[in-house]
Amino acid sequence: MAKRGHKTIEHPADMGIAGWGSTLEEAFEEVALAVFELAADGLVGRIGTGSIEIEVHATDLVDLLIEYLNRLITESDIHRLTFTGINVESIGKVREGWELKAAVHGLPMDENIDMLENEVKAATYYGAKVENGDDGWYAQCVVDL
Amino acid sequence: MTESAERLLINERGRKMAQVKLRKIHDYLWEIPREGKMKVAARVYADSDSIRFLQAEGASKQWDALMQLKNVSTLPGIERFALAMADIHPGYGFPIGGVAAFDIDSGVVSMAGVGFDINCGVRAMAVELEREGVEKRKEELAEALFGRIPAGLGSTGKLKLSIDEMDEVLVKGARFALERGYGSAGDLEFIEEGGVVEGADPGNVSFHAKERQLKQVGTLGSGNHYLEVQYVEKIYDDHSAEAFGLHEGQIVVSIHTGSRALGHQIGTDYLKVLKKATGRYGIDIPELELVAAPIGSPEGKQYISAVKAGINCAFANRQVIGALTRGVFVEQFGLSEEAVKTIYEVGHNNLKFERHRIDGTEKMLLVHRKGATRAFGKGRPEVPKAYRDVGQPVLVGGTMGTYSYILVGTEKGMEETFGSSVHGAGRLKSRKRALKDYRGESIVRELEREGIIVKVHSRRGAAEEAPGAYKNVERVVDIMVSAGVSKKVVRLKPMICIKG
Repeated sequence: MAKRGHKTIEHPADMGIAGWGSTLEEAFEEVALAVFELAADGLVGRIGTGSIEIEVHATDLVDLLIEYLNRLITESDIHRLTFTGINVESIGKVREGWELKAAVHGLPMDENIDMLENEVKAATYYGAKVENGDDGWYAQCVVDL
Repeated sequence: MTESAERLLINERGRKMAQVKLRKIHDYLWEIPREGKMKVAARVYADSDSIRFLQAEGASKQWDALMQLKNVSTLPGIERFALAMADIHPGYGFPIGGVAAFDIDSGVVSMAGVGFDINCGVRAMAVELEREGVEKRKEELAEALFGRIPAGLGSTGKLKLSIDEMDEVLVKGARFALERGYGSAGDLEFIEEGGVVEGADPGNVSFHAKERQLKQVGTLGSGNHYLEVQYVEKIYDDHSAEAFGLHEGQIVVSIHTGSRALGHQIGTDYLKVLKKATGRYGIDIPELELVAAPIGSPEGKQYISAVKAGINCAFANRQVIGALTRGVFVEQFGLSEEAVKTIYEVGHNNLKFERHRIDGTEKMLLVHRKGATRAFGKGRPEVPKAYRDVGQPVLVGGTMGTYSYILVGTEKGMEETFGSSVHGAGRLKSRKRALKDYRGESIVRELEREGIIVKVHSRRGAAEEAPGAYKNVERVVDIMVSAGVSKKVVRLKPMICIKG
């Protein structure tokens, strides 16, 4: 298993997604890349022409994962960008839980309409987990397609 | 680490699955008897083959539809049974095909019982054309529909609305579309709820939800959403078919879509609200996705009014697409507008306050249907007058290559399933498995050889939605019919399929 990476996991109706890395930030970056690979074919990794910054707060790490993915799905739709690169700058404990700061970039949907595939409706709590093990961090959940 | 963690989860689930006991009620109905934290028993419409499949799937994968159904039965205030229709397959929280009704005083509203595509459903329209007439001009018709109906991720509709106008959509439903010139007044009578539900409060829908939807009213979406031109291939019940205005060889258009981004965002927003409410009211849930609030609590009321707004948005969406489709037929075949008549429109991801008989007494319940279609029997006031002596049409979507059905609700269904039935074939293979097994281009070519034109915006989507990825819809329908919960009226065969 590579130090960092992401994958999809079979689910009969929707799709399980997972990301892992040596840090929590890497695992969260990877799991988001899994979402946007579902949304667009072959665009992840390209340099985006539009970018946004997000800040997400949650009570625990599973909440943070779901909040973060859903925020990205929402922002993607509002800005009509399919995200191609994710930089999770920090994930840290704050007084009432956890805080994530990220900068993401992407390509305009309208200019890449032929490359767009699945509409990811939302990230769900079903099967959601964020775990720390000997090899680093692992995050997964099911997204509604 | 990741692979072993996943295997561990699978093994744990496998052990849990072995604990789900099933009791056969009859050949088409099975029960998970009440035990532990279950408030009621759970029942699933299935034959022995489907039960074997569900058990094997639950034991070998980490997603388990029977366990999900059992979890639903633990929710407070649930009445009679947690139910699953014959198209049951794993969802998130609720199984797809799940039905659960709650007492309005002691019960809860659960986010997973509706999902993120609020009031996703089907509209069927009868066209005054015969199969032969369309067959000759199938390619032109397919091109015209593909060009006219916005579909696929990133597509936008013809209506570009302001936030104030979006608030109107959320309150007026299909009537909003009608006021903007989409469709005819005759459509409304044949839409569930007349195309608009009371009690939608746009104030309980976030700015983000409305903002996302401003350009999406009148769009089909992607995934399993579709528009199909079909013909009536077989009639099972002449009386009901006549009431629905259908004869053999007749053209029917089916439109499958929902509330688009607005519904998705309402789900996302209220996942947080209901999660907090679950803790605040001490609701014991076995699975986090089952987050819920008491029906009468402020959070429960807000969520229900937001869902109603989502329901109205879906009504408006299908009304616009229905009108665009009608326009294509008018142009292509020189028909009058009246020659394309709405047979019925009904959702399958919904919350409804409905009166049902419980232990001999009629009472108001909050019914959740997640991937299940309302299927009321004859006589119910909710059924359009024209159909009241036969029952409500139940629109069951098949796959791109197989049949769809129009069923009708029965008295037995009213007694057993809160007037509910299947919504489709139900997935057999995961999307990932389908992507390994099929190629989009090959699927399109194979269907073309069978005389079905498929126009897709996403090749990957075509592979994921391959007919082989779904259960046999005929078998699924037969289970509900054999159980007496629904009756077959007509079988529809696809000629053209437009997908996102």
